[in-house]
Amino acid sequence: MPETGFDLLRVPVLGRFLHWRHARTVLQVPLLLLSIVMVLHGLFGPSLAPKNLATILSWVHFRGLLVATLLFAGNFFCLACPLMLVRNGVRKIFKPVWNWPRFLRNKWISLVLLVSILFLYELFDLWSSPWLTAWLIILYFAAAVAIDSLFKHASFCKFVCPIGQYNFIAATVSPLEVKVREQQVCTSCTTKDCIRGARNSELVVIQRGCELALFQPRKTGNLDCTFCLDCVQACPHDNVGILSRLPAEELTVDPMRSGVGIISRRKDLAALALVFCFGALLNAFGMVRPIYAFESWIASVLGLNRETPILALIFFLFLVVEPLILIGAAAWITRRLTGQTNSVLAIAIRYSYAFVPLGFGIWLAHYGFHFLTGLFTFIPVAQYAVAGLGKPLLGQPRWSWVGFPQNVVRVFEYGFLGIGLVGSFLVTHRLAEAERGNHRRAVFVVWAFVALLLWCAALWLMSQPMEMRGVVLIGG
Amino acid sequence: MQAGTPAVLIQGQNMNFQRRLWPAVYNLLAFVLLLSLLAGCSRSSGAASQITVETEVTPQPAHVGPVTINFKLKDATGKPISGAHATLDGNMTHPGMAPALGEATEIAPGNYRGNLELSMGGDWVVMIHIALSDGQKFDRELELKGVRSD
Repeated sequence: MPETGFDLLRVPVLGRFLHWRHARTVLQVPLLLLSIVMVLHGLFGPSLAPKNLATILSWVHFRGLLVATLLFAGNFFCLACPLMLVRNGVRKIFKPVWNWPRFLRNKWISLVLLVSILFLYELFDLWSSPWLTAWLIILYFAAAVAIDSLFKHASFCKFVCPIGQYNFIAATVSPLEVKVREQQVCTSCTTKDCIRGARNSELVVIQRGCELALFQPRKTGNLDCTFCLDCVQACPHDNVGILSRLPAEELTVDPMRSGVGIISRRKDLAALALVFCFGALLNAFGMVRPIYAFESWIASVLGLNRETPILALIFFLFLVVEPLILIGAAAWITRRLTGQTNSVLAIAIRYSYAFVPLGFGIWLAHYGFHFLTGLFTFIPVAQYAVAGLGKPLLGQPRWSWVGFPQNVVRVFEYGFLGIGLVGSFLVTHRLAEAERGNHRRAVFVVWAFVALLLWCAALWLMSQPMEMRGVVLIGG
Repeated sequence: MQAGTPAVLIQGQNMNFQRRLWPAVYNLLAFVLLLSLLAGCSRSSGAASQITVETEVTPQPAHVGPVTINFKLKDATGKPISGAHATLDGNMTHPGMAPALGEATEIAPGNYRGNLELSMGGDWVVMIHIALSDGQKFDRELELKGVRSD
């Protein structure tokens, strides 16, 4: 049966553009130029974060636009990722010869990197340092180029990039997916260009296939998909589209996914899903007043006077202890209720994915707050940056241009949290429905209760007055 | 998972790869060093002048809402400097927040006072932009850490 839903590639103009083989480059070039401007301004511009393009664009606009795009469309940031443009250029000189080591073909490295970035963000107050932000961008480029110069395929995207993993997990709740239009066409296809690449008569690859090892006919959902559209370009039957689908539905099914495997057996992916959700809470916790009281309390109880161990302890509590208790307890109760033979760990892994919609709602609320309240701030900062070059070609900076009032944005914040909770309820319900026995409703209630607890915590955090501080061990 | 072909090491290809790898690594390191040096240079701007600016903020600790910033301008000999024009530009250390803008007026010879409305708790940095009557211009930075939201 052909897919009958909305197909972005069938939309006039936009569809034609995305179908064009240079579309990705056209999207990447402006972002690369913007990255260069951000790095230069971060290194040589004003040291005050609100007046620097590196910090404004990284921590306000990029994050806000990223989650908005994931909410309304899909993983289009990876499509336009400037790192891959540089990598492709470097690969013309350095052809990678190695395959990514088998024992590292999972998400553990990227998970550690994601947690590390969240940790360093808090420890070094990255939001307040244009210089550090610029170096973070430089290091990101260097890492992508170095890894993909040594290792074949999209090793950096699939196994290392923390932003990529964030996008993969978040895109499970996106409304669009790159998928085949008609399975029947794939069944009769003999060349499999979407994975092997399209070749000319001399068998030279003229259009690469999926570098992330996603074979379109057996691909399910957005996990590991960078929306690079290589499969679209490679398919000789024009059978791959960007199709609409029910957001988060892919979290409720558990088929063998090409390039991913069976997600209920992937401890690394489940851990990523949990870090995505609990990390959202932690990241939001870092910007409200109670964290300072909490840190001071830990400092006094443990007799510590340095921030690093205190912050490490908070991360451990939020990202290890809290999920272990909540998810572990819910999985144990589920096992008791259903009498199934699966281990508690296996149940915990399966239900971990149910928390992705809630986590996404918390990220949306948090990043949406910064984005909407600071929506126009890039204008005066850009004016200021240009004026700093000698001539105010964009006019004098209008510092009064900020964004939407906080009380207006609050409504959106609570709305995002509500959508996230409903999403997690629906996924939990579908998973519980698949359980055997007469206790499906009870299983749903158990997991829904955990989601509700986390939602209450998020609601409480968002209702706290924001207090963005760098040094935390002063004044309590 | 990705199809698992064993790691392929073709001897000639590998040697060629290594020959090109190390110059690239050195070039990258040189680039990083150059950027660090340039960034360091740009941060070592010289002191504006011999003029001293003594600041005082009330209330202490600062809270969300109105704060008053008093400052005294003195020349190298300690003599008060009158007739300066000063504006106040308060920003949170987090980007994307509304700035607090104000102007200072001279309330006594060399003594200036201005008010700012701080909209949010957290760390603030206030830039005092000063223009002296002889046309000299300079800035002074004042940190307001841990502004309370209650």
